[in-house]
Amino acid sequence: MKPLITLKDVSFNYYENKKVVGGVNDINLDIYPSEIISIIGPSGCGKTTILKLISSIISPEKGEITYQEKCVGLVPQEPSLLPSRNVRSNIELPLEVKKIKNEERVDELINIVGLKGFEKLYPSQLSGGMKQRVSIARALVYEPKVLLMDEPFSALDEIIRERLNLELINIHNKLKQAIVFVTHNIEEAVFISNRVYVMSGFSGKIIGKVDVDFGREKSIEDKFTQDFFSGMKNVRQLLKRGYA
Amino acid sequence: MLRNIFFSILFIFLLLFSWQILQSRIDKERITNNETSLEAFIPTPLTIAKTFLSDGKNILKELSHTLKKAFLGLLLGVSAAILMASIFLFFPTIRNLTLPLAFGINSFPIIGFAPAIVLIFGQGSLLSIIFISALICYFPTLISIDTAFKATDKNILEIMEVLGASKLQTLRIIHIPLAIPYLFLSLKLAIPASIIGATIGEWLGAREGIGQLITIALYRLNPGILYSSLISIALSSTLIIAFLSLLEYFLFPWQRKRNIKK
Repeated sequence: MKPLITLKDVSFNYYENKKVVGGVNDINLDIYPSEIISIIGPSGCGKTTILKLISSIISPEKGEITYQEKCVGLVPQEPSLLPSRNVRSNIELPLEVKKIKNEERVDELINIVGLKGFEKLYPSQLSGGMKQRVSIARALVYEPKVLLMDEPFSALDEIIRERLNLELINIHNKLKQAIVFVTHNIEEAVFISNRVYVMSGFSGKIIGKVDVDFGREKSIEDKFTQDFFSGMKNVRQLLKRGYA
Repeated sequence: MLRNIFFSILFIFLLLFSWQILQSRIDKERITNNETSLEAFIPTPLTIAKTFLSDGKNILKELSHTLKKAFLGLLLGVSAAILMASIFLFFPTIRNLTLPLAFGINSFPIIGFAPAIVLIFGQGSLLSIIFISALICYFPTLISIDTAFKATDKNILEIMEVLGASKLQTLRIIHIPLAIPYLFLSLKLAIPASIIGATIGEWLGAREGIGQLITIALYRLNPGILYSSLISIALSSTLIIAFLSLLEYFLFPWQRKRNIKK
């Protein structure tokens, strides 16, 4: 199978007074159709930078990124909804930008993310979890090939986070978009992904990957299996190396 | 809300009542001591009310002239500020070059700057009054809208970039709607400022308007007309702001709707 997006030896640095203050180096990554990959690493290691590179918000200094089709959706850490628009209108935003009319797609996504009946509410009337679901629906409405999610559930409590992890898996099972999921939560990364990439805190490099696709349905019961524990253990060991 | 309005009116009424009682007592004493009555300089609320009854028609006529000019000035000033803030957004270099200059010009006292404008556009001309009014409300609006544009959520701007939105689309869909609360806030400051601007313009030689009425009252030593004119300006400004707040309440429901779903 051909990857949708390939990052080959990609580097990008941030500068302050001509000194490098952060960035990513020699990133090699393949994103295949319908898979979920997670990128995990210490704060400031460059996880978000990888998403910005994939979405072309920034361009690599070295290396290259090739796309089978350049069509990505972005889900930021904060839902960043427009306060003057209701749920439906926020979801329709990308269609408005791209001048497309697709009422059925909006209806379908409202159903999938479980917001039927709440279409007319404004963001100030929604809970944190509901806002994040609107943000996911907004990113999916124009049918991107790859969904880029930047720590989308990090501000939510453990119970809501777990529920949204399950909902994300349900959405993925229905729509089959590839997902690149950035997180700093080991359990979350192992639970939702097929592969977990671990980054180092100092070099901004990927120091290893852990295959956690052990032929499962991704239900909550997985969290009590030996495979899940060993997946977590492997990611944790790599992360320790990243911190060292 | 209604309760607050009621208590505000009650407070103002008590204040006016105390003013009336206190000044009447002071005046009584001054007259007994063969001193000039305070009424010659400061009219009591009752005198102001009587002036409103006798000269109300004339005051309202002059006020309507002032409000028309103030409205045109407000329209010009606010439109120019929104346009300039949009130019700043698209061309940050222009912003960096001209914003310090704008702050400098804004530091000129309008009372000193107004005669220079009158010299350019002519004494008492409609254009000079509108221009003074526009100038006085231009800067606060520009700073407000510029701040709103600069404070736009970076995440949503990145989403627009990923979607391939044009700069104009981003301005229309993101920047302007997010700046609406700031615009209303600046309008609440700009409305009284535009009326003050128009009044100052009229002081400097207009043949109509409340500014001209104040000048006449001053020369004729008529504190009743003077105070009535001032109060009519304050009242009209307050009423327009109240109407604006009401408009904001009904036009933008998302600002008042909170936490229906937990």
